[in-house]
Amino acid sequence: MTDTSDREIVVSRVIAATRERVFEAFTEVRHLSQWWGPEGFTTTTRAFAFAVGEVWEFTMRGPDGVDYPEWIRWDEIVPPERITLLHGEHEGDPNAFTTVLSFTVDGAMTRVELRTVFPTKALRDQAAEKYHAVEGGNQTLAGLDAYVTAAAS
Amino acid sequence: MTQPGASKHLRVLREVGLVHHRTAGKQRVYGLDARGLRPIHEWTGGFEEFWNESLGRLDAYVRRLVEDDSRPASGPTEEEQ
Repeated sequence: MTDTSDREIVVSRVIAATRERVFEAFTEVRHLSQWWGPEGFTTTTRAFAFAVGEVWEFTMRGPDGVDYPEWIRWDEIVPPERITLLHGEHEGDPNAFTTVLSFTVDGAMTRVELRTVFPTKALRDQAAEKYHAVEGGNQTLAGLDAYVTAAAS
Repeated sequence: MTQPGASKHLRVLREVGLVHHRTAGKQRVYGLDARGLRPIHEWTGGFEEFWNESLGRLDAYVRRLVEDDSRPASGPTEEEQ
């Protein structure tokens, strides 16, 4: 436990591909649009450039047709090790928060760790609540399992 | 786990409201009451789930890319059509 533990969220996962390959999936819209967001969500991109200081502006649409505006600015890009991004709903969003994505080699696979430290616990709770709404349902694990199995067959 | 051990665990879960039960003869039949978990889930769950699901899809996506690479180049793959 660190002193920021009450206002941070850490998620990690081992991905079955090389670090270069996993990193690449963040660098282009044609890749991002294939996996960004929970199962059943789609993204429509208005602007995208993968470079420090540049942004990805898009709309995420849930399975129920609800749209969520998204705005991401790339603050640090260290291929294929690390991406730091500022994540909000629009440019200048006072509630935007910083997420650091780390990519580490794990045998033939890659561990992706995502660490978000919110400025305050209140903002963290607010994000948790917003994305709880975005999440929309917990149907995914079964669907994801089927998807991975089908892709591997 | 022994039966008394299970009963002990279930009693704790009952006391914090995570399970409910009904009595059927000498037995207690338990059911999950996940509403008790909701405050915890709302606190961290949404954002964490968002990324868990996204990274799950990322995993499936890159697996598919690797698959496509290892196939002979004979026109578009199923996913691209």
